[in-house]
Amino acid sequence: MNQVTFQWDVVIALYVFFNWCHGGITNINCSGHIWVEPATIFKMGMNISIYCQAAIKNCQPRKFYFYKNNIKERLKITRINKTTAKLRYDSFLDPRASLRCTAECPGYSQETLICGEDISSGYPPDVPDEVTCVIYEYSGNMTCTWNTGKPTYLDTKYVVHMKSLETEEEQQYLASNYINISTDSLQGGKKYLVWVQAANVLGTEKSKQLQVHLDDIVIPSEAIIFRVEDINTTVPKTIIHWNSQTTIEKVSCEMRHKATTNRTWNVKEFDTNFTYVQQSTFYLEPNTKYVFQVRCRETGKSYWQSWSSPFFHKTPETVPLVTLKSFQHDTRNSGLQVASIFKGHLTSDNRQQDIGLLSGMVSFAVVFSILSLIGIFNKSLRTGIKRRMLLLIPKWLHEDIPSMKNSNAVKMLQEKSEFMNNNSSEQDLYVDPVITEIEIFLQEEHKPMDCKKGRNTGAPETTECLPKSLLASTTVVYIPDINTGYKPQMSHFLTEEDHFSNDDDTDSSALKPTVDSLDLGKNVLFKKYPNFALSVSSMNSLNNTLFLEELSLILNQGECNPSDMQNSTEEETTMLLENASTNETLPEQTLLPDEFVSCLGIMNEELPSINSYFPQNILENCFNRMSLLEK
Amino acid sequence: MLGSRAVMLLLLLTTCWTAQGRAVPKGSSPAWARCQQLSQRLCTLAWRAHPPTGHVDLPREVGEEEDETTNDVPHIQCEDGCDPQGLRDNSQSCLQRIHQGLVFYEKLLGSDIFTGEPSLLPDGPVSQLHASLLGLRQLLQTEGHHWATEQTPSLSPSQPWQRLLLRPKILRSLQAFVAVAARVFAHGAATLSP
Repeated sequence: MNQVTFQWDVVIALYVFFNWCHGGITNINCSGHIWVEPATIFKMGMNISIYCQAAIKNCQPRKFYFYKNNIKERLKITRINKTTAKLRYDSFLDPRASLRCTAECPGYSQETLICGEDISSGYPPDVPDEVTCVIYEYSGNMTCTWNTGKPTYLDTKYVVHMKSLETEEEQQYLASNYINISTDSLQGGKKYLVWVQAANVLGTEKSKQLQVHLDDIVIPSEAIIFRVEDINTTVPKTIIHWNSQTTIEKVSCEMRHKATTNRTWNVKEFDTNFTYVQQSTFYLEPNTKYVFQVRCRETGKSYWQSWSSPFFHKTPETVPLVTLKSFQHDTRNSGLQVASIFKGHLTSDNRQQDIGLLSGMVSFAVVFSILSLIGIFNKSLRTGIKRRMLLLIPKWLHEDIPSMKNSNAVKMLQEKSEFMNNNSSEQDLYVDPVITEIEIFLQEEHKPMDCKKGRNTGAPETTECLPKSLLASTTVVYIPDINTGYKPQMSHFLTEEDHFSNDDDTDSSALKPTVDSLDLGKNVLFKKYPNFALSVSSMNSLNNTLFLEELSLILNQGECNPSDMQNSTEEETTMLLENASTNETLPEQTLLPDEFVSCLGIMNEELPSINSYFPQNILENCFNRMSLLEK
Repeated sequence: MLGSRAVMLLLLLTTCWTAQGRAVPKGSSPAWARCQQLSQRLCTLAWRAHPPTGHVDLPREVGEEEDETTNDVPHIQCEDGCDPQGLRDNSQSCLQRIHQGLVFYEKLLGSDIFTGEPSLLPDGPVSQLHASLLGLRQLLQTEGHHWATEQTPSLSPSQPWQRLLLRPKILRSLQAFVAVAARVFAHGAATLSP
């Protein structure tokens, strides 16, 4: 008895010690009881009742109070009896709530705590579906996932059942949302039945059974995009380098990409072998940020990897717009294989052609520019090219139209002139003479050759004889348009002896360069033919019609030396005939007989305009007249 | 028989008294000014975490009055020497009591009472209060004061509805404690700082 008493004393002492060393600041003292009907955990939306029964020492509660989550409830409180009250909730929807009730005791202004309770509402579990079990390569685990359905708001446990189809052995694994099962624990062969059972306080559900073969659920090791490079070729491209550590030989992969501003993915599928690093080429928009992802699966199997981490890349600004096109480097083949074209492959082919055409045009432009520059800065080359071009193309094509040289007659004369210049080197470059004033001496009347009256617009002195004066001081230079190929023409009214003389005194400042350029100080033909000089000014005004008429009279009459003129005309005609069949050469100095010019002067009333253009019919008429005159 | 009981109780009480760590203080004076700053901040945070208005009044618990004497909550009392004369004579006893209280409340603020459901804001006043308690406690400890045994609260798992009552209860007690501690450090900073 004493021993029992002593033990009791020890227990009391320990209780006192416990209470003294571990105080009540962490404890709540209840003075009654609280309960919930139908239960503290119930289906969401149900009607519930909370009962509160007070057991307060020396207190007959005058009033009961209920609190939900520290908020005092004022409605639907029913006093059942002296010590008990009830609070009712219709369609309670809170997943969790903390309740407590207090009582108002006489003599205490402060409410007295009776007790409290936590309640929960939720749903029974849905039937787990979409049960999937995969084995990630190198993980050593079989991972099973399933769709849990709608939230239960309650603590719900899932049990994975695995039953071997070979040994009939069944194993169970407790889980919440997924389970990793070590493959080492799967000793019942490779074929299993898998199902999931979900359970919480409100109910239990079981999924459909899934039959799996361990060899068919392996997902290859994750594919990773690890590098990107931009190639600035003619058609800039972006190459994505990616790889996987998988040992599975036959793998099917998908690579998708899109501009970060877009929502639509461009997906490309292809079979691959990860013996080597994979490269995928894309032709992307310039200066655009793209995101790339890749995933793979064993060929012929069901389960894909999840998409790899987003790989962002911004294309350089200089990349021109090209099509989206992807290549895969097939390591088993030596070439590039077009695996897929994402969108609009028909248009992409056309664009490829356009790209080729564009590059060709660019190349041509560059080469042409270089050649043009060479031609511009190399005068000899330019001249040579010009001559050869004129040989190749029809003459009318490179002539100014309308132009006097389009006339057949002028062409004949040109050929004649060319014949004259044939003796000179073709490589000699022509240098335009210095333009001087046009001086024309006109004979008012039919005067003898030794006329003493003349007109010289450029020099006031009067010569004794017109031919001499012409030779000495009159140099009529016709300045043609340089583009037409005509050369300045001098009209010399030469005496017979002067034709074959190299008289330095007869020169003018304008004549000399021409002679020099021809490199024929003794150009027989040049001096033999009476040259034609046509003043531009004379053609530019109708007032000069008379001027030309007077000139024609002078020339036609051949007063200075008719015989010479006659001979000249005959020889000229001969030369024209001789040169008729000669090959057309580069335009050289164009010489027109003075008679011809006079003829033109006579026909001036038929000139359609004051432009330097002679209709061909006028010239032909002139030739006819000349022939008639000769006859 | 009664004598043996009394001896037994005396032994147990002595053991418990020793376990509460009435250790001999040693070391130099703390950084009074810094302790003053931190203690004032503790006051501010404690009142912010549990303002006097806007909260549900805590109900009276039957039996709580009886437990007052056996409450394990550290209290700064007269015998702790936290009065001006006691601080001037030997501040270590007072500092030890303050340190003891800081450890106690630090553990309470880190318990499931404050970390469990219904959850509080991660960076709310209670969280800041917990961090400041830790700071002041470390400041006292780094001054060379090493007290052998600390008073620890009894922490049994609590239910959510209990936490709603325990939290204000603890914070109210903490407010009283840090108010006294702040006055101690204010006086020390004004009179005892070198």
